[in-house]
Amino acid sequence: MSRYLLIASLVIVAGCSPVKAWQRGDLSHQEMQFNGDSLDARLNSHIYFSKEGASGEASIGGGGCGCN
Amino acid sequence: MKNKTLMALTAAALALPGMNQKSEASEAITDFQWGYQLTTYQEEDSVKNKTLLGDVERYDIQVHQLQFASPLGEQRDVTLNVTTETMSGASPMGIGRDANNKSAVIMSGASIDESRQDYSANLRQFFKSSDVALSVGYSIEDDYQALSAGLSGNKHVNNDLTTLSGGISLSSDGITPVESGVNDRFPERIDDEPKVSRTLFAGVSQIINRSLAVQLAVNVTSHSGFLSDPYKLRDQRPESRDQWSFIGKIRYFSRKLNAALKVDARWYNDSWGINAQTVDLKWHQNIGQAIKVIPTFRYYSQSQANFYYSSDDLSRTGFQSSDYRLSPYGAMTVGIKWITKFKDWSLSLAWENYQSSASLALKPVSVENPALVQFTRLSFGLTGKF
Repeated sequence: MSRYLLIASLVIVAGCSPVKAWQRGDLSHQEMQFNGDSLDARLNSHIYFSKEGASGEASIGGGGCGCN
Repeated sequence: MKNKTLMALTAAALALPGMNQKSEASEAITDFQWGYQLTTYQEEDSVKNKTLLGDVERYDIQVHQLQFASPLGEQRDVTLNVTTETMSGASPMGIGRDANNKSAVIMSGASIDESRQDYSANLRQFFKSSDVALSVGYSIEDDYQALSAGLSGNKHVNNDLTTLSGGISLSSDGITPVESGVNDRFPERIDDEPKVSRTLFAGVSQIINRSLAVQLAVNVTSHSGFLSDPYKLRDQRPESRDQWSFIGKIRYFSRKLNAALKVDARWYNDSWGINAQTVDLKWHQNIGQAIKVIPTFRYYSQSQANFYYSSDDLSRTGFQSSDYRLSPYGAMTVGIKWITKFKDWSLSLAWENYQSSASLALKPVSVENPALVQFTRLSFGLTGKF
């Protein structure tokens, strides 16, 4: 897995182009954030945590629940 | 001279709203914001010819979410979340064999009524090129309490094209099942057991070009304590579980279509032997300034836990569980969300359908768990700021 992450990282870095501050209008849209709508994200995380075997996000989680 | 002009242009651009774009949020909010969301979802009834005993009507769940966020000066903000969840219906207690020796669900006999309240607060402090957040949470239900705390942060480097993120959290939980006293229906149930979960995550986000950004992250979570399900007829799991998730995210904005594509993928494995893959796709279609339509698709597949059995056997010893969440299966979610904005208000409506089955798994499954869940979810949301 770490080999794939390294390859992916190299591809990403190689593919980067300088983006000036005034060129970031498209990136500033709310839907372009990695952690978007927090109410939806919190609920989705809880529902799937309670109904599936896998869990884990690109963020710290909250407490557990009796649902799983 | 040219450099001075460039610097002036950059400063002017950064002063425009929304233009100080890094690959993660980098500024404290400036307005008081609130949000409310009501979600109702109903699990489909257990199929009669796959149900051995008990009530076939599964959970009907309602969730109210309330969120407030407020600036605390120019460099700090706080977000408060309150969630109330109520559920009623029957739940799978085990898996037996029917007259044809096929796996069939043993459901709880009577309808269960439960509720959960969850409170959390998140305080963020912003610096010139970094931020830190402290979060605390408390969740309580009749038979479960969880107290959690976490610390996370972001550091922007490489002319703000790259963001390094990381965090740790700890949750201390207590499980106190109902009807577990000496004179109750299930005196063999545990009385009060602890559980501790620790999470560590690290990630890097990168702006690739003016319309593309990616994120790679890893999450390691370790649980210890009582991890079995006290309400199952036969459920004995190891007292520790280590989980690893490798996460990749892509955000792409098409100016031509005025739409954004969000791709979230996760590769997961744990010390119980479960491997899982998840792909989540969202298409954010902007229609003018006020309307957004978001079709979604999610695919999930998992392998079984080492100690999973397709049916319970009361004479079996050692680690064992017939919980469908530890069984091999796949799941698919399709949905659509509509958001209408009016000045500083927004209204949203969402519909989602979740189907799970052995046939959706990536690898062939010999025996499907008959308790696999299907549900349809409806949400209504309102947000505002002033």
